[in-house]
Amino acid sequence: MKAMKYISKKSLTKTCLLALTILLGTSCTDILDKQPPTSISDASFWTGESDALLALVGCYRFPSGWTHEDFATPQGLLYLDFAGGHGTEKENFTTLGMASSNTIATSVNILGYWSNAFSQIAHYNTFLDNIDKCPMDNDKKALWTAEVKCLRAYYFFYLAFHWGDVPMPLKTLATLDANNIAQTPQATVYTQVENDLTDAITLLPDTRIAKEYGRYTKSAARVLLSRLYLAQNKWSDAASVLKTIIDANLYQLDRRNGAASYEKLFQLGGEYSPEIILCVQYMKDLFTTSRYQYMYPECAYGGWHQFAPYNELVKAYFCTDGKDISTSAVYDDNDPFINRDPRLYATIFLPPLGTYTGTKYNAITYNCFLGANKNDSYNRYTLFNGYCPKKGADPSVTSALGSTYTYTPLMRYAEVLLSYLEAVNESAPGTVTQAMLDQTINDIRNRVNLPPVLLADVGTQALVRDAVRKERRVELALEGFRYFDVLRWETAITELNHIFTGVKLSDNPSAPNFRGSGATASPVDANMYYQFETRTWDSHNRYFPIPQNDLNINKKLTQNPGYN
Amino acid sequence: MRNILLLIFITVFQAYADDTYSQNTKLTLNLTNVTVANVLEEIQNNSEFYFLFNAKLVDVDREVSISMEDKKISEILTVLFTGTGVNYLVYDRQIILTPSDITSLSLAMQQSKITGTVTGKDGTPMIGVNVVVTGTTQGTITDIAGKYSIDVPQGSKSLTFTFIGMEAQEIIIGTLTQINVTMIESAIGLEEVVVVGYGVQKKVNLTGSVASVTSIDLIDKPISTTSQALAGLVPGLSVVQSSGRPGTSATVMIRGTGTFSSAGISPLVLIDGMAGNIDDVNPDDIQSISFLKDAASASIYGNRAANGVILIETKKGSAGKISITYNNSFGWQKPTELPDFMSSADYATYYNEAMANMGRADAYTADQIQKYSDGSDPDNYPNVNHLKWLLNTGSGFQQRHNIGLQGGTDALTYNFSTGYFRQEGMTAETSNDRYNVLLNMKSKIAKSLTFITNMNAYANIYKAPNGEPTSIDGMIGYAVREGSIYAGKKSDGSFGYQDNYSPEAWMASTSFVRNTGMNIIGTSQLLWDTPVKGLTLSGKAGINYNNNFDKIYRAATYFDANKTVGPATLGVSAYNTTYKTFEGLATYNKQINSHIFTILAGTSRETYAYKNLYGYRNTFPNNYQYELVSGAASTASNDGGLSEWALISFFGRANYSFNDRYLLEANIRYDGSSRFSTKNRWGLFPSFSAGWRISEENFWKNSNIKEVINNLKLRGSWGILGNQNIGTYPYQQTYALGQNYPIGNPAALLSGARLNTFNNSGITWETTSVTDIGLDFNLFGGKLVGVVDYFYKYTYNILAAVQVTRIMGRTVGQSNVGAVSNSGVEATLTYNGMVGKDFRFSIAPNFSYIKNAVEKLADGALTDINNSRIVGQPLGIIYGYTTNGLFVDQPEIDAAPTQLVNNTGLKPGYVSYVDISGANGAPDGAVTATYDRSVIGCTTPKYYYGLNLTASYKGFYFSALLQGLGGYQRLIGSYMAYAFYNGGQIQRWQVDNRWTTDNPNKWAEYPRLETLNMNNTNLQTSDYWIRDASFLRLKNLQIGYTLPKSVVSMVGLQNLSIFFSGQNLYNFTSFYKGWDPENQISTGDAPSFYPINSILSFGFNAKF
Repeated sequence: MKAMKYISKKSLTKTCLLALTILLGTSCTDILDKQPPTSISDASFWTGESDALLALVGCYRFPSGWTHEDFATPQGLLYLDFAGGHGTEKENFTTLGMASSNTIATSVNILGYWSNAFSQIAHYNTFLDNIDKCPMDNDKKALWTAEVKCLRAYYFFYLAFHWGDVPMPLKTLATLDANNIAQTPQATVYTQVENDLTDAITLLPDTRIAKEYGRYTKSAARVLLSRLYLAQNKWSDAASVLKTIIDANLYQLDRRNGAASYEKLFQLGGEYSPEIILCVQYMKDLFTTSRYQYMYPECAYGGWHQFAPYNELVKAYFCTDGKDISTSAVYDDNDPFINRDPRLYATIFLPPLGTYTGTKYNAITYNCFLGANKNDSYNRYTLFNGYCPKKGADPSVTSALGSTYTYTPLMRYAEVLLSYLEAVNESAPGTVTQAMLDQTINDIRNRVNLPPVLLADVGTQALVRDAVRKERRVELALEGFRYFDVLRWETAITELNHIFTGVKLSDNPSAPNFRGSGATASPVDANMYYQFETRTWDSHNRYFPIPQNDLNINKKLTQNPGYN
Repeated sequence: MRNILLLIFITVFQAYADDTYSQNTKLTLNLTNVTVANVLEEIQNNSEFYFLFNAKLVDVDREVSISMEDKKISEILTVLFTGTGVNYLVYDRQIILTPSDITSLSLAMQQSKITGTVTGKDGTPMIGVNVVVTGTTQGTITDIAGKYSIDVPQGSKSLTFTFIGMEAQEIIIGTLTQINVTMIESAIGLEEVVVVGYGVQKKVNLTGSVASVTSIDLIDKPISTTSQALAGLVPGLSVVQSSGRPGTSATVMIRGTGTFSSAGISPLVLIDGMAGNIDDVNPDDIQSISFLKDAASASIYGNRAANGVILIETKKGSAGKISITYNNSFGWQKPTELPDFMSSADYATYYNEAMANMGRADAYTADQIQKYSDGSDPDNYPNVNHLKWLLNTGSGFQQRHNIGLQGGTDALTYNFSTGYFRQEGMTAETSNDRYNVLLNMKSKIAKSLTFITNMNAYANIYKAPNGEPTSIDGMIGYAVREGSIYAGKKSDGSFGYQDNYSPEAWMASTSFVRNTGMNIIGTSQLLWDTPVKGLTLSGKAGINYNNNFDKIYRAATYFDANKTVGPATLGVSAYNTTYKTFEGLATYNKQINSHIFTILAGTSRETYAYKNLYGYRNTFPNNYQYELVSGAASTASNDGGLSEWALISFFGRANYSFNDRYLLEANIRYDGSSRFSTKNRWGLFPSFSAGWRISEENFWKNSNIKEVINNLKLRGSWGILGNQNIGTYPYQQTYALGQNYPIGNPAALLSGARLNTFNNSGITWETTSVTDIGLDFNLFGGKLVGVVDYFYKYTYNILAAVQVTRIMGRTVGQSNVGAVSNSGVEATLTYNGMVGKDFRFSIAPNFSYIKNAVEKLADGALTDINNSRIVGQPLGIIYGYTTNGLFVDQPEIDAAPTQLVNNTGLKPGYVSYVDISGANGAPDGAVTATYDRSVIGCTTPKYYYGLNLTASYKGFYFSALLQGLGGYQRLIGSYMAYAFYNGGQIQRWQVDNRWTTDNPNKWAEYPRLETLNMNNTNLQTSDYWIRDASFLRLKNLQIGYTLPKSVVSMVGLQNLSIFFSGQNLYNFTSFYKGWDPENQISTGDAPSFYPINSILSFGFNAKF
């Protein structure tokens, strides 16, 4: 104690007062003005073309990663194909969750399509709300506006097609708006889509320079418009808009890889094919989807084999003589995979059966007959059936299946050709000529070495219709067209109301595809095809249920008939 | 042998009586021309001796010079006082100075004399009791025989007897000349002080609702974090341990779920006055924790106090000899509960039943089932309980070590402690290591200046295996799914797996998660006792810096010949947070007669910044390279950002007390937050409280009731609190960058921007008003102590996202959307008893009942079904269908109202939903989502309770803590609740209580066995799947023994105790069999959890 030196009282007082003054004085309220450093605030956005370009890219950004249920993701399109009777998903998403008499309004899958569509639309609307005030070149402004309207039209079209009357926000919604918006009649939505597209077509370019590749063109808008017309059975409108695409002569079927052209079209690099009109591009490690993780068979690098294409689709493929299996001379029901349409081999993993040795993927042979609990075994899960989708699988990808960067086609020239033939046949059946067949369906068949359809063999409107529907089914399989087609053709009630089958089984205990005996005998149909899924589809399933999630909030929404 | 030991203890104890210290301590003094008072002070500073004397009677201003080397205290005192008329008495560390001739002195002063004896309750004389003539400074101290003698001036009314730890006694003199007094132990520390906001307060003078726990409540528990130790200790406090993963915190909540906003329900935690996390502190370093539960106590913290405030004080040093402590504990963990999965043979059998129930062929032949059962071909027909395997891979061993060093002089006191805690998981390669350092220093740098420094730092290293999904919790979640029919590691070195899930394969890989965190909290405070009497000013600066470096590596992992999950990926994130605070405080104390005023005024400014940097690469040359640089450069990507907030506050408090009887307090805080726009930035938060110590009233004191009810206080408070803890830029409409998309041929990734969240610029403070009425009482001389509180908490302007349809297309930011109330009663009682001389025990139950209700929703809505909120109902409701058991047969299905799905899709044994209502308010023959769902349960507990039992006998001590939650329900889902769900497995309870065609029990616990998926009709949220989640847990049990001082002192120890302790030992519950209701497990399809553990441990505490 005695050693301690006291600071003089006076200086101490001064020091302390000074310290306190500094402390209290620093309470300058400027520090309360914090601006987000990692995003751009509303007030400082839309100041020029570069901002608008950021927003435009944001509009083009389709869902990626592990987002599945969407009208522009590979998985979302595949689900739609399955819903339409081309297959099933292991966890019952597509049958139970989307297209069955047991589908309910709380289906998470349907909510997914709905939510993702409106999410995309919200970004488009925000772009359209603001682009006018953005100081930039007016022509560019008009062009970009047209592109975004096309993007929006795409989602509005699918919403209206699958739900009927849907809310149609054309502006950025505030919360109260979103909670009180009523449904717009389907016809009005269609009209909006039609107007937006026809306006856009006048502004959009025919082609894109290399660095803009992937953005909307006149043809892409026209393809979408043609789908709108097909959905409404406006055949002549569809025919005329499709004809403009064909006449513009900007696209052609991809024949760059000879006999393998069809298969390779859907693999890496296919996005730059002369056949592609619009697609979603991805980039390795940077912008990917989880597609291969789900799609690959278990034998191939540990895919999850999430999907099982139905045998009904397998049977729809032609034989090498161009005929279907019921009439073909080269078809043998005991050796069902031999002498078939090359598109079957490009689209579906087939097991070894008869003289067919099984689909080879790199060095791996796909086989669903290895026994209980073995990879890909046809009855390993209740919704397995022995097949697995293959279309789009690129054998160069053997790892990182959850980061797939193979592109997703949204519109390609083959669709244009088939839709055109269908539209002409429906609107003016008499005008279908051999030349027209050759220009359309036969061009497609020629690519995969199938004999042409002869006008002589399809002398009636019904026969042409039958031919074009069959061709469309297999050419566009697993690309998201099937549910659209069976709904607009009103064939869903028959197509989706029966027991679906898988691979062919045998009663011979020594056959690799022995179906078991007694209680373990796998059920089969008359032709020994594995009966694995009973589907029921009611007429009310024509439209999806309005998601319960939104009905809970927005009392102005009304549920589609038939859903509790 | 034991007898001999005991004998030795006793002998030693007798030999080393309590005067050991005075006999053994040698002092050196060398002082010239100082007062006696200086000498005494010097002795006190350099030893543990302290002096008791009355300055009126003992002349300490006499100047002396003294020079002595290595002398016993008695020798020094002899030199100092011989011939001065002062007697001294040395009793252990206590030295009493008395005038040698009291009689003559008293005669000289012409005063009357009162004598007497002061004894303890058991009749033993009490030495050193202060006896003072009330209202004067005149007094004396009792001698070794407890006797005193005091001269009182004429007209003196009473004598006051005081002694630390004892209740003060005031005795009216009247005509008495002899007054004998029995001192009573202070009923739960009338002197006890409690840490409150920006200060301390005597517990008896509190007007707010403050609960506190001290180091004693935390000691020796085999918990890994501080938060876990608090369960069951304090009424109104809910502590839920949701996971047993090494290093996980428990969720702590005060007085119910106050809000549904993202501002959250976490109380504000201040560690020595610095905002932090409750688990930033080593439990061993905690001196006390205060829980500020009502507005009165918490409103001084204004804007962040809405969920209550937790004040943690770390241990501080005190003047005196250095004391060194060393504590440790060693323990082993195992899961509290594990589901009972069926063996592979049973799995196959029941799978066949499920197939038959679905009209399908058997999947397994009898021959295959036989192979599963006999284990003859374990590679192809395995029987592996993957969950059990996984949870047995780790040792579950944990150990804690803590060394503390305390001491100081009057000028400088310090506490230094360093701790190490390692917890190894029940899963292999899972561990958490924590190193703590604490340094608290208080130095008197001048007579009126005190400098206080607190530094608390820790390093935390968390390690875990990694795989798919990328966490150990996820691996456990999917081990629940993977049936016993899947192999583990096969004889050829390959692995069985389901999708990408295989705990065995991932465990065998070099994949890992490694999170390293360093945290340092440092504060410096300068306290100035100004020349103005009673006015203290202080300035404080503090920083809480947290630096993290996390690595997540996933090796290219071999499953089998056709499956290697790869390529290897590595993500590295480095991020840090810096929280800085400056605070100025002025306090002023003034006493005018019986009126005591305390005024506090202060200001603070706080800033916070979060910075992060992230790097990623994949494809590594091998599985043992896991630095970014080793990854393929072409795969490199990075990310980074910054986020900041700031807060400026002005606050004040005024306390007034009259006669310690009437207590008033007012608080006010004015806060500005960067999180709101300039228009709505500032908020004002006042509170008022009052207390009435009824037992201090004369009518009470003078009546017999005082004998029974020794202390009684009525409290009431009201106030307003704020909450702003919601993101950093919540009011601004912003375009998020990084919304990129590839365009071009060849594609290039173009930068994009999107307005992802729709924000509301008009938001303002979330506000909570709290009313509290409380009663504190002590009965039977402090044997029974109780606190009862009623509270009503109303939170409005809740900052949450407005419920919005998906049509909106984007998420919405916070708005001031609604209101929630919590009202309740909480009570705590402590009974301290004694049987005989040595057996002491205490029983301390506590109980809280909380009624929670949503009061208001956005835009006047009455329901927000998607977020489970309905006005008038509590938060956390379960909204779903009511069921009528299962369908027994086809006629029942045919007669039933239309179910959710087409009735043709239904089968006997399916869940039967009830048609409650319809569009016209009456059952409409169809079960619909709109009309037939209602509130069928609630996940928010209504009752929280605990029971603390302690007992001690001589050196033995025992404690037990029971803790429970009641009045709530829970659902578990997917792989946990449903058999064969999405390829999952089957549990015994599902089998044992299932519906079968042979026994079509309508009320079976499990429906018709089938394989199930997400959209299945049986799996709708319904009362069929709800279970009561109430539980009563034997949370902690401890037995310890403190060795006799006499024994431990032989080895140089002051104290040594050994203990055994068990945590989470038993749970009474009727929840799903095999699932701990406290374990938080998501109900979705990607379950992820870590089982809660029970821990057995032992250790010792030593003091040198």
